[in-house]
Amino acid sequence: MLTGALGRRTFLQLLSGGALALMAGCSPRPRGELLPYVVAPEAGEEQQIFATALPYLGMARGMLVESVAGRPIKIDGNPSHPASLGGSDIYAQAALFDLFDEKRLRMPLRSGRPAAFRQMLDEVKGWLGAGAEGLHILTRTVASPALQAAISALGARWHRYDPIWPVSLACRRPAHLRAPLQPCLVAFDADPLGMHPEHLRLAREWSALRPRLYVLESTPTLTGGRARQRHGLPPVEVERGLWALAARFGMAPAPEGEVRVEPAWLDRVEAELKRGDGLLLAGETLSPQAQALALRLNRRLNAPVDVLPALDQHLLSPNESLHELEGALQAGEVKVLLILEGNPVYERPQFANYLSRAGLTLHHSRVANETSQLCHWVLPASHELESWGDLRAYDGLLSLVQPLIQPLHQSTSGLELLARLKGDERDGYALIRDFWRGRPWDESLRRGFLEGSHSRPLEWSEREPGAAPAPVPETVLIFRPDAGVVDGQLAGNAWLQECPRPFSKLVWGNAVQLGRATAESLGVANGDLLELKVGQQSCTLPAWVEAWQPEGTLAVHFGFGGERGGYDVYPLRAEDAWQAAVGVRKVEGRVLPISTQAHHQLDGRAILQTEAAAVEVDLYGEKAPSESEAWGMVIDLEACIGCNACTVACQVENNIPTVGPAEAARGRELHWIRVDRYDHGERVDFQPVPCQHCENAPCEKVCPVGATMHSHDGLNQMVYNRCVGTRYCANNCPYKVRRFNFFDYWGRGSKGEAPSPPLNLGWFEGEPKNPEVTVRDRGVMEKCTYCVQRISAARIGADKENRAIADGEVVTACQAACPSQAIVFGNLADSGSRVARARSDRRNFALLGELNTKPRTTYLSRPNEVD
Amino acid sequence: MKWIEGRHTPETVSARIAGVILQPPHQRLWWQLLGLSALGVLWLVVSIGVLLYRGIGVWGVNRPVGWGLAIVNFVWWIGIGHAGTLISAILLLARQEWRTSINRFAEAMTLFAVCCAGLFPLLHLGRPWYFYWLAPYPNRMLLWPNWRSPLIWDFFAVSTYLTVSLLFWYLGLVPDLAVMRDRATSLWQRRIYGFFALGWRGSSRHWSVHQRAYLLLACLATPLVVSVHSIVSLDFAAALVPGWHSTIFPPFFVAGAIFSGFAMVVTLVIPLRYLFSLQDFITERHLDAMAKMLLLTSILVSYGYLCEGFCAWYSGLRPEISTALDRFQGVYAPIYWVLLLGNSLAPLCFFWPAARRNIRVLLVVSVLINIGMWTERFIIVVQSLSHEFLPAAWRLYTPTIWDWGLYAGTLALFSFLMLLFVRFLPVLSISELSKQAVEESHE
Repeated sequence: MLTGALGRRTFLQLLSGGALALMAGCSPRPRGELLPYVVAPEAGEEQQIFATALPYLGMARGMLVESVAGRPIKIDGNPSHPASLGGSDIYAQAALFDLFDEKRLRMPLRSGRPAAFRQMLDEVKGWLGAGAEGLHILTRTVASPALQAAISALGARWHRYDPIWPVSLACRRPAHLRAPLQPCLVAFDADPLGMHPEHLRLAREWSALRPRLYVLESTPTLTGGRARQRHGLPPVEVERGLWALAARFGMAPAPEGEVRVEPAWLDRVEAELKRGDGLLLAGETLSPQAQALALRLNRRLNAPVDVLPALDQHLLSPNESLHELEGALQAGEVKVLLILEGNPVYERPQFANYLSRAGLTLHHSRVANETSQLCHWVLPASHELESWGDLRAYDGLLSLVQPLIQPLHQSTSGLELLARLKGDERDGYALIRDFWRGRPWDESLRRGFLEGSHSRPLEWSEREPGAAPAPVPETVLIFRPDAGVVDGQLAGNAWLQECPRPFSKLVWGNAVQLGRATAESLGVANGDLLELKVGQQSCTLPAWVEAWQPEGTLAVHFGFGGERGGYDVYPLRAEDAWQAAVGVRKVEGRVLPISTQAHHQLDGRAILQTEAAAVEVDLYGEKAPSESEAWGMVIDLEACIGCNACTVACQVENNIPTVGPAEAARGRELHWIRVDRYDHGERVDFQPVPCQHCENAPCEKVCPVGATMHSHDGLNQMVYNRCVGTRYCANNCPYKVRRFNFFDYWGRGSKGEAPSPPLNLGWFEGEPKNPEVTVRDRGVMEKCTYCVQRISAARIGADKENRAIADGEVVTACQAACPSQAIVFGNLADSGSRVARARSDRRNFALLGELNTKPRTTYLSRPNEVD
Repeated sequence: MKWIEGRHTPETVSARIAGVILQPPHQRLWWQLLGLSALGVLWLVVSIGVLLYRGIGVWGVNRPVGWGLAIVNFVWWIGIGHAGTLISAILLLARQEWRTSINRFAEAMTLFAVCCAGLFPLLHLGRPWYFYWLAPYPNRMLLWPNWRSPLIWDFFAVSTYLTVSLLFWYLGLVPDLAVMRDRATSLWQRRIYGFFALGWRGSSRHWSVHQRAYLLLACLATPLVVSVHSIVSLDFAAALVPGWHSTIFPPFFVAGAIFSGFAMVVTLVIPLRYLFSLQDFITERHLDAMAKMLLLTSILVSYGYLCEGFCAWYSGLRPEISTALDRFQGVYAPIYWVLLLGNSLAPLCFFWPAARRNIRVLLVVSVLINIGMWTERFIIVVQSLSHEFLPAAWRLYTPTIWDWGLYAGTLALFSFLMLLFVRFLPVLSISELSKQAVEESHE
């Protein structure tokens, strides 16, 4: 055929043959039986939705993953999964980044060089022989029954460590305390709305119930932000406050000496609790005694607290701890050490000293890190979105982890790796099917979890609380996981790195947070360097003044340092301690942490309208919205907890690139919906600000080329192709929601300014994209579109059936993500729609309505509590 | 009143002014300055290249401060470009004879300043290669610019102003080019000057047509003096931004433009008359008259500042008041104090005649005014944008090296063009000064 000159027909034949070959190579689908979500919305063949589970603090939240042409492109909460109820968080939203992360390990490495997986198996066999004597496995919290069984089956010694043990120590055995929220909540250093494995469920319940919330806490938390009365106190004073409260109920001796919690707060809380329907929440950072006292008080108050067994019952048993492993290493008993995920060298720095004593070390990890550098073998781990498995939720509900795509690299899941070590060559699907034999598979896979599999409450007695701790006079350093990168495992995720932390609005790094008076007494302002000294260890960090940080305390967030940006504070932390006595002094130098919001004061402006506003008289006459469709949004400021899920969801949905630390420092981040923080009086308020889609839009009037104009259904549209980039629209937007592509942030043609080297986390190519949304060029303005692609999709669907778009058919990405359902979107022209009803609420107000911009996005105010 | 010192006839006037070109003094200094300016122009080219290659991001602009030094410089240069037409057109119509000595020079300055100004709005676009989308041209997509946008008005105002200024300047030059042609010694000089002199022979008919055309252009140019900066001010006044949204802006900007234009004329004319020994034509009385203009416009501008403050207070709107207060107390306050010193305080010394005739004082104050007017534009553009309606969106702007680079580059371009101008074209109007010399000799 190819002997003669290439004729037209031959060319076409070859072309089609080649195209077929290419098509066959595309869209790798995972093997095994994939079942779409049971009530998946009807969609073309291209788009499908699958139920799966993703871990947060090691435990499952049910998620639905949207897959287009075989690629996962969006993750949202699974409405029927009790741990998410349809809501999601920044971690779930950003999980796709980790899947496509360019920094992922691509193949097994032996001493840094690519090597065959089989060679590793042979080497392990060489060390161990036939048995498992001398094999040790180090994991973090394992909430997957299949993985637990596989580890046990291997006959190895199993050790556990975790920088954040998400378990309650109130009872004599590790437990999870679970209770439905009550109308009156009293939280002691507890953060049910933020750092809690079940925070999605709790946020939803909180939003539905709007309980009266009273908080004592030692660092600002999202929960504190929603409190009616919130007091910041050093950790020991929070506990003493709990004792003082318990004493009023005759449950414990009153703490000796002066209690710093205000008597008025105690009076109020006591009165509230005595009215009934109260619940105490004690954070897991409190001492076990304090947690026990809170549980005892809850039982006295008849609060419906269930004590559930911890998902991993051996979690804290001393002979399975990291110490034990260190002892074994010291004694030379460890022939082969397998570290499953985690990064113990970084999180427990002293562990590095022991690691070299093992005969052979294997690290199973998605990305190379401090631990993998010290291990002989680094084995690439599969992402949850490309592997089969199961995972229990906080309440024990057994959820299935379903892959959406074939492993992108030569990676194995933990389950597969353990099977290989046993000589089992089956793939993850076969393994999990085998483990799940006897359980309803199809149904569970479709739904995402096994119905009725949650743990049963136990009747465990709590510890003896004893007396209140004595006050601590010296300055206390408080350790907390970072709200973005948690314990550092997520530090490679640019979406999370660039997501402003709820209170500080810091991105791409950490700082030591301290209260105003403490900062003044040390003579520091934001960015001045402070040296912290705990025992023999010291660490220098920039200061960050946080109005809500209790005086006499400093707070640092771990999860940073080295390539992650920011500063590593793990060396200061002894084991799992949440606080330490600290010596602090100012040192020369300044490094200003990067923050996306510099001012938190309302400056006397009625931005939040906490008081009822005067009725605005419109001299210009009402412009009637379009008759058929008038899209609008209402954001409930009372329901908003400030978690940023909307920000990241929008980023994923709308192909918004991250800009990197250097650009973020210049104020050029591109988030289409930002969450503003305002301090006023005793309150902190969060205000999500997307484009307001003004009917009388100031941006539209000033664009010289008409690149932004109104659609028939009231959207303020941005025509990227027409934009010449005068930035006049952004100047004239009073809400400052317009974002500009100062550089080519997607890096095509790499004209964007390269980020500073230590923070080059490779976000340019790695960020996955939504095929429905245009990627914007350099020099072009962009902003929230009300997810116009979703509106169009709904319209196409409705047009096909010759009907109007139904209420609730269009769900914007921010709305879908919001765990507390603070965002309502819909058609204002339809008076029966949810959004129209929300807009007629008397709390409804237009932000900067006095400018007569007639925004389509309005807010429901968070009123001052009337006492 | 005599505006020319010494005894001058048309012959001596021609000889003195053409001599600046034909027997140029200070050749070495001129070459040195030209070389320096050429280096600056090179830097301008580099700044533009970097900007186009890498994007607007090389500047310090951010959100909320979407406009930075580029727009500050645009408004500053346009303001400087005001004096020329004002002197040529309005003072001509008002029969202010002292304008004769400075009009040519001021017109050239105007032209070059507008050229420098014109660079900025083009370059500050995110996608400058699409600048022509601002023009209404027929296209397949039937797209039209947005006539509601002040930037479109601006586009037309500035381009009209540039065209009319160029015509006016050239029309005035024609008789002088003929003088140069006649006095030139080399063949090529003769040919080039001759080409541009358009066959001027100085006949009565030529003069009568020329005078009519000149007067007509003056009448055309007069409204432009008011319109250009009024429209530039509307870029700001038509927006919502506190600190911009103000009805006083058009007259306030026009006064400021004349103020800065005259200041620049004084700054340049003092070394010029000294270097080229033109003290006979640009006398102390001229300087005195210009100082009086400076004093007047300074007071007008100061009235504008007072009005801004009053309006902010009287509005009772927190954002307006907050922005006004932030000018005195915020991070940019030192810049605001420089503004008040340069624009409102320093020119007050011109109440004293001695100060008006003291070259040093004049030079220092005019430079202060130039700086002051630049800071004024900085405050208006940057400070207002950095302190808007939502405190959560407040953020400062810091210029980068490329912001400054472009500014320095245009300064160099301006001086490069001015140096070429003084070397190759008559810096003062030979014909008009000759006429004045004759008239004064008859008095």
